[in-house]
Amino acid sequence: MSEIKNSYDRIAMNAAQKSALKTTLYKNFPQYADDDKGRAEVIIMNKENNISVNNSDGAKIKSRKRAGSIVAAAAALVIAGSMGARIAQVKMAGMQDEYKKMAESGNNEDVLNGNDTDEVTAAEDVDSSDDYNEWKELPDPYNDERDAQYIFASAEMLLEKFTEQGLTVSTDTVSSREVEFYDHKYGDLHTDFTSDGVISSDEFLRSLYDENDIAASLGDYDSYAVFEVQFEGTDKAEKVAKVTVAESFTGEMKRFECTENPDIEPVEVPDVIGLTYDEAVKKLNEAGFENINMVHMAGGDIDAPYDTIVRQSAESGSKKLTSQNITLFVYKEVETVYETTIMLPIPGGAFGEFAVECYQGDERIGSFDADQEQTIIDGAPVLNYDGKIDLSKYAGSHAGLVIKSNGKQEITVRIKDPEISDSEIEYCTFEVDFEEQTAEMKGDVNTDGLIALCKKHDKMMHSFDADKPLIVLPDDAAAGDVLTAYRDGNAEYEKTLEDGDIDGSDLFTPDMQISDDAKYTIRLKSAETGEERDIGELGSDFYRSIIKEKQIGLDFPVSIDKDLQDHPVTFAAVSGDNIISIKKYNTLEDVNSVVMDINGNNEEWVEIRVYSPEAGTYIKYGDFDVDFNESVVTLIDGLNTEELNDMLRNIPQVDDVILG
Amino acid sequence: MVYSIDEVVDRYADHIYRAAYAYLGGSGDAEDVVSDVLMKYFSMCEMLDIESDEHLKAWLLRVTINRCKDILKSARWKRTEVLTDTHKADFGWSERELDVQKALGSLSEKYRAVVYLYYYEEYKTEEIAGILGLPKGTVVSRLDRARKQLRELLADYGEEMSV
Repeated sequence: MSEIKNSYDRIAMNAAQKSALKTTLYKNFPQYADDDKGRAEVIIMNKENNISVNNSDGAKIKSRKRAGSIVAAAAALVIAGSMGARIAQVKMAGMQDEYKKMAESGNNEDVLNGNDTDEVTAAEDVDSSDDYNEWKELPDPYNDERDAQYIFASAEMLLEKFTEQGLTVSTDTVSSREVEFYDHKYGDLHTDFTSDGVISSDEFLRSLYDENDIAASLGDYDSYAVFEVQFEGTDKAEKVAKVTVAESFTGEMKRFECTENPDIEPVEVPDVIGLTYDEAVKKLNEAGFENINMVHMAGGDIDAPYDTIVRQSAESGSKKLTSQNITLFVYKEVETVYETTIMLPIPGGAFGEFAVECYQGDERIGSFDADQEQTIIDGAPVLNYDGKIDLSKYAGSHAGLVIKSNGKQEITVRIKDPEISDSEIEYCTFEVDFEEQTAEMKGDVNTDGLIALCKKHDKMMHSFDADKPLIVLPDDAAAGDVLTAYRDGNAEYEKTLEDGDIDGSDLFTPDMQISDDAKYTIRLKSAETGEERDIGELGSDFYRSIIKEKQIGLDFPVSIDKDLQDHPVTFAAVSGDNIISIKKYNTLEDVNSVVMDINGNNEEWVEIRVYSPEAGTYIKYGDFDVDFNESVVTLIDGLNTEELNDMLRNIPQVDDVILG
Repeated sequence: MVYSIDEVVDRYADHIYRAAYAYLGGSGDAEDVVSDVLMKYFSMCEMLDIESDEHLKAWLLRVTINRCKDILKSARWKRTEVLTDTHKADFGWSERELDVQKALGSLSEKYRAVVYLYYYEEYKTEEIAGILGLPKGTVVSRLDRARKQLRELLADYGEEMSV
């Protein structure tokens, strides 16, 4: 341990180094010099905006790719120093102003207000260093976020100075290698940024000082590159400035070399303070500025008429390139907005791509895209992007929709095929309390409308697996009989029944494809007699979807006399005209209860029927009131156990037939 | 509490320099880090509510280490030569101390910071946790791993050097 301490102990700055450091500090912060040492020269700006920097006595300001405001500003000075004299003067003046501002107030305020400032705290069980325990939280200027702000501010200043001079950032990559470009904001590493690639102004600004900046990326392999900027909101790269980025690792400074672009004339920015946003945009557009952003400002100390521009990012009278982004600050109270997720039921079997949108009155407050899934809540993907949603992904389940608003609102979900006009339907309505994070569905879900929509656009054909036609075979149906489905007189489906098809139940599900809006006549041809007869019709109602908002296990007891337990039976859960669940038993031996998974929406009346293929009939076993939302099942009037036993008891026995 | 330039440089420049040197594994950039950190301090010192000398020192060390982290991330750093024998003359290290420094320099930076703050600055693990913004357990485990690595690296010295 002492070896380590001793070895460290020898590491120290020598007197010359300390002296040079102090000199630098005296120059920049004379107010903190001791009285007898506060006479050092600082950077001076004269009336003509010329700047003199006296480095002869060892003052040292170095350029860094990534540093705080001071370093960045210093870098700008270095950059400016490498330019032509006229440009350099202006840049340096501007930089010095900004540098002073940052050092004195603006960025320090940012620092102090930073959210993720590391805190110097002491652990609870520290038994010494009382001072340490009581230290207050202090900002950390090298925090990443604040660094980014500094970097951005400095880089922005740099570009502004370029543009004021009619300079540009050009585009040819004068190197043999692709440039890696790191987007600090989104954390993406762009690896294909080549000579024909584009870069937004925002990206460019950040890149100038980012840790993986252009120069750093070039550094390992290339000596320099030249870039051209395509500003956001424009469709082609503009030669707004030409900057050669160079980095010399043999030296200590990063250098930006600029050349003027005579083709571009900056335009004078009009004064829009006091105007409404629309008026301001119009005025700026007339002047040629098209990239305009708005920021709401709120607070009681704004001395300006409500809903007017109180600040503009580009000063009026200054000259800017028309491709420059201009931000307008509008005095407007900002409402608190809450985000909540509503769970939208999607019919089982639905498919096809549709736009799903949420409306609060006439205002669209959310739309969703299945391809941009973000998170999963309760097994449902939550969507929050524009675009279309493929219903098949959520069929029989839910899609989570993220919406933002405040207060209690009635939110209407509309579904449409954006490619076809007049296709929009109102699908369902929620009563949403955004602050309480509750959403309650009001009224019915417009399943019919959605189905009609799907059918109309030929999206839903053959899709309702859960609702394939269910045919009740006649009592005398037998293996070898031929079941045929006719559509417009043409046989579209034919099936010779097998033992398995009629064993245990008279319910038969043909594996047939049903076209929308078609009606089928179902006929059965007896293998024994050759006679064919109608046994029913199938229509679109057969594959009407059931909203499967929730699944419940419907559990009920079964009590069959022991001598009747060998008979096959089929339990069917029926809601309205739809059979929503089936459970077949070849024997009821040791079956004391039946659990049927049923899907439904809100509150439904579910009837349980028990079919006996041997008896060729069914009985109503019981009625249940099912609240799918609350997962509550209420049995109405008891179970018809006796009737069930009677049905099985009265099945004609083979012996009876013979004797009869 | 605001300190003068002389006070800060005289009292803390070496600490910052050492911390930067330790964290960066030895390099000429340590001097630049001192300059950066002190420029930063004086640009915002009136906004800081520094309560004591120790408080300021801890703040400076934390800022120093964060600045070093930035430097280590940069591409430029990767091209920088680290710890050459030239430092032997600079700091008057004996062969043995140079070996120790080389061993320290071979640790990863996360270990170097902990070792420096613990062995040289003699902070407690809780305090190091505060300075580095790490859980105490992480500091302890890093310290433990660093010790083990140092023992292996300095095995030639055997019992003479206990880590």
